[in-house]
Amino acid sequence: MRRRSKYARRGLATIVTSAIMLTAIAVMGSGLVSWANSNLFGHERNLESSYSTNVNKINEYLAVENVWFSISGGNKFVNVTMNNPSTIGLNVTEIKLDANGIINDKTFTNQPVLPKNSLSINFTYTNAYPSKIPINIYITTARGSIFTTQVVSP
Amino acid sequence: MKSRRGIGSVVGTVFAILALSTTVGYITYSMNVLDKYNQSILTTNQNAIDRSKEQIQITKVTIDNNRFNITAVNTGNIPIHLTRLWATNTTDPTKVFRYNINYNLTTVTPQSKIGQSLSLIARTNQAYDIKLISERGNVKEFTVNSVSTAPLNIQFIALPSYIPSGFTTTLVMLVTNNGTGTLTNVTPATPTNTAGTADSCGTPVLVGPSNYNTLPPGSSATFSWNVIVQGSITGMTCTYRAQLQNGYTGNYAQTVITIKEISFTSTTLAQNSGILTLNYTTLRWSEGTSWTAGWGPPGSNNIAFYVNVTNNNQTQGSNLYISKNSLLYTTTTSGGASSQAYYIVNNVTKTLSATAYSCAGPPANDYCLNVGPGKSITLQFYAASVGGSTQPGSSKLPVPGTALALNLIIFGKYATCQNCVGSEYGQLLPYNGILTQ
Repeated sequence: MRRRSKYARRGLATIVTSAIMLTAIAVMGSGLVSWANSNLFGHERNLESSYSTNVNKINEYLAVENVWFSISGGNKFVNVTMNNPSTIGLNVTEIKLDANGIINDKTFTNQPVLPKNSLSINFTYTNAYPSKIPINIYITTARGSIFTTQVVSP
Repeated sequence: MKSRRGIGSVVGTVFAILALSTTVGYITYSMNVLDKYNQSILTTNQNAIDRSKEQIQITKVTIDNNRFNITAVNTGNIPIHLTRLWATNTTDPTKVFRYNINYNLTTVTPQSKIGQSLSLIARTNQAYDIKLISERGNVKEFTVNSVSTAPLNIQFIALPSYIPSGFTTTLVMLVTNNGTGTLTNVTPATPTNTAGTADSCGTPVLVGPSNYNTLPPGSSATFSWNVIVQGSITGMTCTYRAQLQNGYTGNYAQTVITIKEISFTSTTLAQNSGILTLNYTTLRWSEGTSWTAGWGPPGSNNIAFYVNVTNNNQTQGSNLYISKNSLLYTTTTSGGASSQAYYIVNNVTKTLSATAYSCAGPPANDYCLNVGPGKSITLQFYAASVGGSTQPGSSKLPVPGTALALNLIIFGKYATCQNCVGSEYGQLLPYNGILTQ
């Protein structure tokens, strides 16, 4: 009867152990790499979003060309003409007139100003202003930028 | 065993490469994003700097052919592109005009005629607020005002302000634009006489100019008039007021012209010229039809005269009572019998109907008229004899073509009343002449 070699048993165990270890390492490594990639891609997306938001906000600019007051049909109204000299479009969401606490506020949902274009907005207001006093005008965009100017009441 | 150890190294290396490449990729991406962010910041800053460097100066605004003619200068160091013009009629704020324009302002050449090609009609009697918009979003605002918008600095002076009676002085009106906007249509109204004690405050006659089309800020417009003021006493005044046509309410200036007669001292001309003066230009004659000025009455007719005489003695109470012997007489250039006397009368009409020099007195019919210090009086001459009221045919003027000197002899007395004792005074007043036609 032929005796079984002790080396043959030891080789099998080593192979099995190695396979298990390799498998474990592969699984753990793949998971780690996947996790790292996922984490980094998430950071990249956040960075991209943050970059876009900030850069667009920095780049947007609105120049108030003219503001004039008048009366139509018994209603007082103001016309604000804005010019967008920048390279990105913007959306006006609010125009506020404030003269020593006399406030007229108007919000909008869709008042886009394309790059290198202007926009005139007419709106009526109810709180009258004394004649020849300074009125601060605040124009807010969808990105949260606020542009101000000052005019004199009619 | 050696080959199995190699597999582990390979696996480890693969993972190491994956980890490194991921990390390097992330870092590279981050750096790129940061770089783009920086570029955006730099671009935005550059735009802001360029915007702040834009310097537009309006050097001239006129109204030519009923349109604005604006001259703008780029005083900065970068080119400027003007893209829009706004004009608000502040006289009628409902009128707001917007025009797209296209002017490149270099730093070298001023740009004029801005507004000449627009359909906007500029009215000189109205005020405008004008804005020029640059492509970078800057706004250059200025005003073009009418004179009614705000009070102006008006100065009004007489040069000279003290004049002898009958002399001409010059009224000068100086209008300074003390505002920040250009003024349009600066036209003065003729100065008006608002007060005064003088005998005559004449109507000012414009010397020029009649108006200024535009007046830039800080500039002045000068207008002048000539005016004649007459008064018999030193200290008489005429007050004139100057203002602009359609000007701001209550925006005017006044000046006072004062009569100051030239006085002669006892050592000079006064000793020889006497105290009475003849107002030569007031001489009038009538031959039965009308009172006429000039030196050419028709000859061979009866004639009456009147003329103004001034008592230049300014002493209080020095009234000159005029004697009935006072007369106007004519002498020909050849003298002799052609002389005629025309004695003083109370009144004579242009139809030669006279009232004798008469009064109640005492003394009756003498010293009837008197002239106070510094005052003037009109004396009328017609009678052929003292105290008379008629004129015979022999008193007619000589035939046509005869030159006659008119001499006035005033007899009187300086006294405080008709019957008071006073200083007798007689004076010959020559220098008028006529030539019969």
